[in-house]
Amino acid sequence: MTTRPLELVLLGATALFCILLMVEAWQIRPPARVFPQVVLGTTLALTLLALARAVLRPAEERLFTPGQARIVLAAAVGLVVYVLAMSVNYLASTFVFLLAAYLFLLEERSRRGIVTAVIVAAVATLFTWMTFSGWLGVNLP
Amino acid sequence: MFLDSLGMAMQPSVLLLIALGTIFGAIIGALPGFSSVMAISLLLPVVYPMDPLMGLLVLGSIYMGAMYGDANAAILLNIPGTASALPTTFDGFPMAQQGRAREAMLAALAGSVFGGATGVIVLMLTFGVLAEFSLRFGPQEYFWLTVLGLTTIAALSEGNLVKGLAGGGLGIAISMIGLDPYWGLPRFTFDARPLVAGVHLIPALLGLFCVAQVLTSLETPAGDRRPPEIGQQKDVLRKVLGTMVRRWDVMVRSSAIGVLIGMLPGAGGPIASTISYNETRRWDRDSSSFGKGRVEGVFASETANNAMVGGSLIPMMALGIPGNVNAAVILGALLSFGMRPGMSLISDGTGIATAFMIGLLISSILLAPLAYFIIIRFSILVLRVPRTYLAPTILVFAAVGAYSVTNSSYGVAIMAVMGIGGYALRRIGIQAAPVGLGLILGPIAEREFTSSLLIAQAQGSYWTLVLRPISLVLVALCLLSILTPLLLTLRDRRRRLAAGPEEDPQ
Repeated sequence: MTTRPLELVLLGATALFCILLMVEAWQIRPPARVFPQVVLGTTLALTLLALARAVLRPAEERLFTPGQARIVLAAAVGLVVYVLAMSVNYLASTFVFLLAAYLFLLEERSRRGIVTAVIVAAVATLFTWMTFSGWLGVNLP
Repeated sequence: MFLDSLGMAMQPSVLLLIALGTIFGAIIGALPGFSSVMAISLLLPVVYPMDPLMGLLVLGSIYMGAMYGDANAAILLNIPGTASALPTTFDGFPMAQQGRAREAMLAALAGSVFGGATGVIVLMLTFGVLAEFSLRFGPQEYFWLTVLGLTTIAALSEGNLVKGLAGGGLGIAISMIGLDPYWGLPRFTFDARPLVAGVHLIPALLGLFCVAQVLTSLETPAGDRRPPEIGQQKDVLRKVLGTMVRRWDVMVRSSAIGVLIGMLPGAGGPIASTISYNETRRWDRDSSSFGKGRVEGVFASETANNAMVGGSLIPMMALGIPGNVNAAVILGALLSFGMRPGMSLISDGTGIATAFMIGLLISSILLAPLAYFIIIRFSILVLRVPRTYLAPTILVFAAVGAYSVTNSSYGVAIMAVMGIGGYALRRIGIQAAPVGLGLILGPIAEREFTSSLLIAQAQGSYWTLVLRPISLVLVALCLLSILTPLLLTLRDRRRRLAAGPEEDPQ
């Protein structure tokens, strides 16, 4: 799979974003309306130009090699799940996220590797908690 | 006033923060795949609640440290820690292969200290003059300055001017979400209550420069990344210092290149170090020996990329135009502290700007003992840490940092969206730098534009937006920064066509 589908989707979404904001911008009273309209109009024009070029240009670049896709998509999904879980409990969600990530990325899941992953996950979780909650006084969930 | 600032910068707590920031920057800078921008943005949430001087010095020291730290991986692994250290690999790695790794690393250190100190001294000498000149700037000039900053960064985006400019526009559009600065009413929120607070700058920068970078680093297989043993070399420090004195021409020329390139909005470390390396090779009597282990090659690259630190902060502090992305993130921090670039940094009476520059000078000098006794040893240890553990840990640091800024999950959500979105945009050729710069400069551009518009309406002519001497020069520079890459591309295309089918193997 090439980068073209992603390019078309992202540029299309950017164009749509600009259009939606431009529609909302009409409800702003002048002179505060002018700057948003100029910026959004210019960005829309540039995005449409980039979109046209993407359609006309032959697709060349590969999006991912087989190994890459698995790791990057897993990282992105894992991050989203972590963000949602973090709001419930910081310590538990962070430890689980780190452990899952380390085990996923480990090239060789030996017993020693798993034990090391557990220890590093625990230490990293406690360190971040002590730094932000203990030292900086952040009210972590 | 100078003595007061000196006193502020010499306090033990400040010196400790400078040392820690320098070490942190050097270690992160040494890690291939992790950028100096990431090192700075990772600490943004930590410095946010700090005293402005301390916060700025931490970020400035990280910047200085990272510009040195990237050399160690370049020399030991032939992988530059950041793009700025690419020319360091040309001679640094061959030196390591010849058993001269220690000499190469000390040469990188000596060059970084010399270049860093030179850049900051030039900053201290020229900042006041430039800041005084900025008093002639009205809202119209500030507006065109922000446009210049945006267009030059976008114009230097890899490959594609249109996408770079679109990225900048997207960044500005995102920065407009929240409250209208003129009427104070919610805009572009689509009735979502969290969006009334706007897109907070620090979590957004964390996402763009930290999360997106981690995802990019996961693309490449880690492989076996073990730095070689350094071993002992007799009298190597004396040898390096002797070469440095004997080749003072290389040091001075590289420093000048670094400072000048650093001052140009949009140019950065990779350009400074590459030009400096090329010039050093060109002026050398034995240029063919470069690339085979010439210590002057390491001096040239590292001196320039550390001199660039001071250079990039000159337009940032005096005019609010960052010389590169690192300076842009520090500008974001400056604005978060409620400070404004320009003459007000000197005339506000706090002495913070002067103390900041003195602190940077201290950071560049402290780099010598810190690197010699601590950083070099630490870097080698850290270079052995597998990406398996580093990447997720950095994501956690970024997430909790984003949470701490907004004290809610909203900040973490912004970070995740900007991070994943930023990574996806990177894959289609829209780099993080224009988007980030749009986020930082967008609110400034809007404020100055709206003020200019009101002045124009009061004076009865919209031409006042453009027809002022300094504005005209800035508009011309904006057009030049957009048209130059286009003209160069057209010229290259014409040359290729003129060369004809002989050069085309097909």
